[in-house]
Amino acid sequence: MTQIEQQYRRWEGSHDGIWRRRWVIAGGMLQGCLRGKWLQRLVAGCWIAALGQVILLFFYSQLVDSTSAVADWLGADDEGFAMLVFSLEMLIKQNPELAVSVPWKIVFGFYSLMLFWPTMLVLTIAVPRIISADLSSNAIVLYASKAVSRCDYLFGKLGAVAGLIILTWVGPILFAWLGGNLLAPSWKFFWLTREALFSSLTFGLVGLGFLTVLTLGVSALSPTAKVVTSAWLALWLLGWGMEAPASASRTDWMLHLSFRYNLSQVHTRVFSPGDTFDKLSAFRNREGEISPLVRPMRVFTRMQNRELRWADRRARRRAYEEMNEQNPGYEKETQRLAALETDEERREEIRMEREEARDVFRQELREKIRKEEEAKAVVRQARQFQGALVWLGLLMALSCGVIYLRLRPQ
Amino acid sequence: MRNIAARMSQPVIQTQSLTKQYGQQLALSDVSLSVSPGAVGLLGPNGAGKTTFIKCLLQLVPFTRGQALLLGDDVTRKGRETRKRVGYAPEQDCHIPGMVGCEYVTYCAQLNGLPFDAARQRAHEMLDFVGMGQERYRAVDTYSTGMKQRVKLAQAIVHDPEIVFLDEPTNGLDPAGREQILNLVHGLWKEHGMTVVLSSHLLHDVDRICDQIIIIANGRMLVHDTLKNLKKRTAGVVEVVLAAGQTELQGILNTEDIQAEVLTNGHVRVQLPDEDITPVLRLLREYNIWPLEIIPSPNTLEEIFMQALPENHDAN
Repeated sequence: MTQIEQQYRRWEGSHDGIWRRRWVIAGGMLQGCLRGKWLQRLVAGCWIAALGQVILLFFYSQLVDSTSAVADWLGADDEGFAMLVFSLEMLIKQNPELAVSVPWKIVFGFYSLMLFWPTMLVLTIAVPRIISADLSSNAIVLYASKAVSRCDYLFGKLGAVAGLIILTWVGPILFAWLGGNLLAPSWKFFWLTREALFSSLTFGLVGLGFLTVLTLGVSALSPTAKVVTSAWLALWLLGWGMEAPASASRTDWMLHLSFRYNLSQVHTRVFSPGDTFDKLSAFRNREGEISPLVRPMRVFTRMQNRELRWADRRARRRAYEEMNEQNPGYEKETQRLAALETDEERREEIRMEREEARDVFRQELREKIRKEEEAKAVVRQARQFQGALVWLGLLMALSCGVIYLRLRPQ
Repeated sequence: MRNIAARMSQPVIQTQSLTKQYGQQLALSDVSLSVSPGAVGLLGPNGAGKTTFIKCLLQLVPFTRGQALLLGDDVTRKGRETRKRVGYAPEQDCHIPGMVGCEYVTYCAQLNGLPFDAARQRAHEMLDFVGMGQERYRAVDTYSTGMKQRVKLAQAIVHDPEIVFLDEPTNGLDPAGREQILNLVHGLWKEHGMTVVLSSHLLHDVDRICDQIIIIANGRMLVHDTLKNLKKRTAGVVEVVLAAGQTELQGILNTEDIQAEVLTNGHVRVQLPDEDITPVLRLLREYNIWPLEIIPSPNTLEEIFMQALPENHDAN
């Protein structure tokens, strides 16, 4: 061992404040976590996905502007493509809400949900390092003997976990939104896409708050890394696995045992795909026709909302069944009315009129049933959202209890 | 500059009926004392309550009742701010997994409020001070026990505290390392005026560097005095080291009404009448006995320690 002669020297500088010390705890923890290769890869993956989204938004936003270089380059010689760009441009002029806000919201809705998975993987890797490692290595005594209280320690650790979630979830979303809008042909995009940003941030922050407390709670469970990781995986994967049987049997309490499901309910509420769906259904252009963009958007919107999907399916089945019930009687009546006429042409006319009337009736019936089913879905969704909030709150309270029991001075 | 003179006049630790109970077990019982700045030895057998006493002062564990002032501040009210001026090297390992030595000490300095640049500079200075070389760039997990002790000392003093609590700091050190650490600790008080509270069961360590002694056993404070005063209690005892003729010397001294006994190590322990060695020297000259060495007040601390313990055991 090298022996270096060094005299003790007194220190006379000024001390940093308490927030700085909390930041030191958070920063130290984050640095420690980010040394792991898998964690680095996952974080990098999230940002690459964000970059992908920026590129997607860039191309879409360039397509709605016929003067853009991209539109020019892609379809300089293609008349059909030029028409598509022109019609998109018209669409944004006629209804910017539909052409920009809705697609942005749909994309960010998907992206917010998608980033939940890498975030969960990152937390799975980080969870044993947060409090559990300090309990096993006795570092908790070290913290307690420094100029930080247990609350400061927790603040620091909360900051570290929040930092991880920001790196994998909230950060990439913000980056994608900013990048997408900065590369858009007009500054108006910032204003038009505000709803997508607010919804993403709201959902991201709810997820961040919940997952941060849950992660700390699970990490404080035991000084053994294996126990902590197993508990975390059990909470996440078992809950997720129970969703399918619980959905099939419509057992709400079992569904709520999965915090992923509860967060998805928050997502549904925050992104309100129901509202988007209504907007899309009501949209007609000046000629009273449905835009070709509406159909794929409706499909995407439905995909984001399980209840809405089910409601639509139920409505179609009910409409089909009711029409089947009424069909024989209607056919008989048509035949009776046709039989009263002697002229063959008049008979055909009656049949055609009756056929058309039946189609209109069928449409109206479908619409009526769809609205009924959607109204039921909205009520059910509101109930499930409330349930989700209660269960998320319960899990957070439980986590706080564990943290208190493990970290309180004995 | 700090007003060292003013600080010297203030007690650094004051406790009043400090009591700590773990369930039914009394870990500290009515400890009341006032400790002035210096090198303080905290002695006691294993499980006596030494560590609990330190932990109560640092608010690592809340005490059941009583009052404790550290550097003049009530620890229950100003715990966090007080700890900025306090260093602590716990007995057990307390490293942060994966962190290298210099990062670890820098981090500890930052936790005590030092800005990063100052913390990093101080960390390297303190690691040099405790005799750590290139090992500082290795993870603390991989350190030997001796290196861990050094790094623990470095993190305890990196923020330049006014008082430092060292819980068994020489455990696991080889004789040379132990000597070096004791010299450093001694220098902290003697040269830099930093109060050192050394908790140990190694009486020799405490005897070497401390000028105040606190003995705790079964949660009770048994003795609190300066080493000088304690030594006065056993003044008048010498050990005479002879190559041969120990029994003869004992007989000669006993016939002159001077208490003497031959110890298991071959030394003759002599209780001097009126703390005066002249009669013994006269007898040695008279009988032509040439001692190899005469040790004044040997094993004082050990005696006091051993004397204190049975009383306490009886009391409990």
